[in-house]
Amino acid sequence: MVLLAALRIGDEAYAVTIRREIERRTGRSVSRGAVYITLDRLEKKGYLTSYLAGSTVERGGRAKRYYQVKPVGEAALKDSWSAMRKMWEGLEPVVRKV
Amino acid sequence: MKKTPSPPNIALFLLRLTLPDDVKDSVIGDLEEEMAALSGWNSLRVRLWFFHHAIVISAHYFVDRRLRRTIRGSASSLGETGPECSISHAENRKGDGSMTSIWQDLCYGLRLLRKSPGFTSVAVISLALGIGANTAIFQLLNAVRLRSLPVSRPNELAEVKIANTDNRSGSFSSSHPSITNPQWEYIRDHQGAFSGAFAWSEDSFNLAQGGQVRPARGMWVSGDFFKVLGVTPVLGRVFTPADDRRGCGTGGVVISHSFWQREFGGAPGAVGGKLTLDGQPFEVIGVTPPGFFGLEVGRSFDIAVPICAEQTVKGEYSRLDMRHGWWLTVMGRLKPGWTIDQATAQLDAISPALFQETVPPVYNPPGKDNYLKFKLGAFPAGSGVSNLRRQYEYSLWLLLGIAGLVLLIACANLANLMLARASVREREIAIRLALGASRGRLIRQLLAESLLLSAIGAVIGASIAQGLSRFLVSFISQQGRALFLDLSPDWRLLAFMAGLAVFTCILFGLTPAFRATRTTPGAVLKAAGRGLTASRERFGLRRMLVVSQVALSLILLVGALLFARSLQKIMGVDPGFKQDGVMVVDLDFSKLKTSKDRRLAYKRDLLDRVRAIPGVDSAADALIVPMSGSGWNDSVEILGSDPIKKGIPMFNQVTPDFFKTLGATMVAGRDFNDYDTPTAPKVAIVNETFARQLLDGHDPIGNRFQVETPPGAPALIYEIIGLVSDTKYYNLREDFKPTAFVAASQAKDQYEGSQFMISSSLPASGLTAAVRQTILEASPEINLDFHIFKTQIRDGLLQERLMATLSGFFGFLAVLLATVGLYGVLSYTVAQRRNEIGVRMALGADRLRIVKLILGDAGILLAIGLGVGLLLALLGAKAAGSMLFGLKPSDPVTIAVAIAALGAVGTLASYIPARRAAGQDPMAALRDE
Repeated sequence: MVLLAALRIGDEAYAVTIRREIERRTGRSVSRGAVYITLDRLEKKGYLTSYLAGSTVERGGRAKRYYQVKPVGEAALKDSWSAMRKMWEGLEPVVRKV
Repeated sequence: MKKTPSPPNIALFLLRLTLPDDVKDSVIGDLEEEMAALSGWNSLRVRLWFFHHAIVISAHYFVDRRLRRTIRGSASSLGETGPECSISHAENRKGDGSMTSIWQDLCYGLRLLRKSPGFTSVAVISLALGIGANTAIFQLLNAVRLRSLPVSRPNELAEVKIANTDNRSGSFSSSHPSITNPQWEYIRDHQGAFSGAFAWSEDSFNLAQGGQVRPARGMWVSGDFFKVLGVTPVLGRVFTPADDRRGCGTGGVVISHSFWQREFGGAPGAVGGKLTLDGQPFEVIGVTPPGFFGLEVGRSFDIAVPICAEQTVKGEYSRLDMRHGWWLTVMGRLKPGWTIDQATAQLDAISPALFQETVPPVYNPPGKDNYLKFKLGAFPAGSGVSNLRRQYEYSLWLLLGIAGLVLLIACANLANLMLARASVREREIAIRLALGASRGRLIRQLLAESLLLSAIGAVIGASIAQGLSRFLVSFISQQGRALFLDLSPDWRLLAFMAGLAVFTCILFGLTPAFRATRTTPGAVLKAAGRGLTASRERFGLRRMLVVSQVALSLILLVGALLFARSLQKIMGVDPGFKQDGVMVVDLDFSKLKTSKDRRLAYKRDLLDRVRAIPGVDSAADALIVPMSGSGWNDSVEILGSDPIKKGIPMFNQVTPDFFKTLGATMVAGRDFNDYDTPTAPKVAIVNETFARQLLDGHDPIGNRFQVETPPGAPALIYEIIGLVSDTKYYNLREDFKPTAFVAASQAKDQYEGSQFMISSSLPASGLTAAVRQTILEASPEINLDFHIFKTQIRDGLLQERLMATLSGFFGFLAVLLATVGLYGVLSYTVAQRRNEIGVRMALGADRLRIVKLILGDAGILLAIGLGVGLLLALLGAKAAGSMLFGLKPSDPVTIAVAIAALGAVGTLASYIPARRAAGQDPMAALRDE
């Protein structure tokens, strides 16, 4: 979800906007800590890259850490989407009844 | 737009501690950005929001780091879904002490706590309040007593002062007047005990050049001051001995870091900048580093000036050559390998010659003999000097003791709650024991919960402590004299908090953990969920805990009432003058350089102008404002008395209308008037205590007394022309002192300043504006400083108010906690005895009998608790004896009220479960069998 949100937002993707995007689209509240840890792990896996920019007065002069999805990350998303689609095949009528 | 509050320091500290370096700033920045968007919220809510998310994020990072280490370290991979918290994992390894299983215990404990939010909130809040209160008071104690000065190797510093007596006379004009300047110059040139010695004194300078005074905190220092202390400047340079040579005039000053930020905006161009101190020009030559506040705990400085410049600044009032003018503090750094005793021996050796050379000419022969007997000594000075310490140290230790008792009561409550929880989990524990878990393992698991509660309580308590300690500092700050204390956390504070957390965890967690695992699994399982015989034992422990809570609460309640009544009594003291509607104005017209013979007329003119202001009832000039801390006494002999009557009354020098302004009553004779000129015979007005002690209560009018004067000086004889009602001199606590008032118009020395006391019904702001306008019309170069008389008196009661407020708060908290404890235990009793009560009701007992039964049970607990508490209170109250006014620590009324109050509240708390017991359906109770 974090990767998808980062992909959606594009240039302005940093922890705050990513979390808000997930909450907006899914209607569920997301822990800030969970978002930070996930971003960290995804970056270590090579799916994301980050850079510092955009310090403002509201942030006490501190820079934002912006994230960008790398091609490896996009490929991982595609694989995940494909696997999910295969698992879902034929189950929609079952789920609709629930 | 509303200004966003700043993030809580503790939250920032936590984030900086737990976050990796590469994300610290961006994460904190994100939180600050989101915080800025909460513009509609109040400040407290915003800060709590920040605190909450800081903890959550820190916890995530902490858990993640632990998990990675666990994955790296353990043979089996735990995957990346989350830390494994299952019990079976742990159970398979009996007595396993590895970090993994400890980690699992903590996780499991956290889950259990989250499942019972009610219990967790109560526990965490009680602990947070208890730990927070203790930490706040310790923080103050640390700053006032324990901390070392922020200079290099403070343990090598020693203070030099007169060691063998405090019977000194002369003029004392600073907050720490140990040494005169002639004595210091001798020490500087002859001492051999120190590798470096220096002198300093605190003072206040006026930065303004007329009109409203702009005060700055000053410090006179000798040339070697900064060098010996090892203080290096962040800008420019500091003094050398060359800067402190006699006759230096006005030269350079060194300013503090905070003053540099405030006055010069932290600009590098400050060096070379100009300042005016009391009308004299100075140049800034350097800035001290941020942590350095001087050597007096409770006070910081703005500007350091060489001692030699005192002559130019003070002019005719200079103390440089005043052999009886005590104002300096002298310290030195011990030579390598030297001890305090060795230094004292060396100072002792130079003492006879020193005092011989500096004996004041104004002393009479007995005074000189006394002076020549003085001996200097060295005293450890690593934690600086402090009047604050002297005033408040004892109170703070007492408050720490009180806060400690509150924490104990909170722990007793928690222990009770933990015991109740443990008995609920009997079956679970029995099953696990049966499945092979070791007792030690289970105890560790139960302790993990306690540890978590203590840790969370400590973290929140730290935040409470910050707020509370700041409140305390502002509480004991006085009008126009802001207190400066270094409250930043140091290793002592963190150790104290960590120690408290561990101590409370052990206190309320260990016994329930031991007890819970002492059950035999077979017996528990056979009992099919009902209570066991073992629970009776546990219940005995719970009752004991409640009794101890009641006892401790009584001690605190008695203490609180004693302090409150003491404050009430002291505030009810009649000082002999009125407190409301009196303003004090300090005037300084030294810039006008009026000649001595014109000063009296000038002051009279100013006073007449003030008296003419519409709304002013009366005004007078006084050398000493009552309750200001200043004082003057002299030896007198009543002329014509047989046997010769001598005494040392207090003195004051006042103009006509002084007594009218203060609301004191003229009992006999007359006030000063225009006939009391400098050439007329000297007159004095005395108070009733003077008449009683020195004139055997006879009518003093017409009597004469002589003031002791230095040899060779003309005789000073006064005729008493008036008798005035008694008024307090220094503070409300003292007995009335014999006092003589002399006419300001007949004083030998007229100063270039005055203190006007003005009685008026105008509001303070209006009066201030009117007086300022009137005085400045006379001359715009007069410096003015306004104080409200009543506030000055209130400041004198700070200690009493501090003790009453805090002990009252703690007393209330203690009673609340004890009541909750009592209620809890009785509710449990009622639940346990459900069947028994059902049987009794079925056999014919009515509601009233059931209520009496339960209340009787409660009554026993209360009675024992109150009895034990009474004994302990009588013993403990002695510690507060010296701080009370108008009552003894064993005051029977106070103790009776405390017992009655606690008994009533306890009974009320017991009544609710009692009613519940009586209201239950006996059939339902019996059916549960």
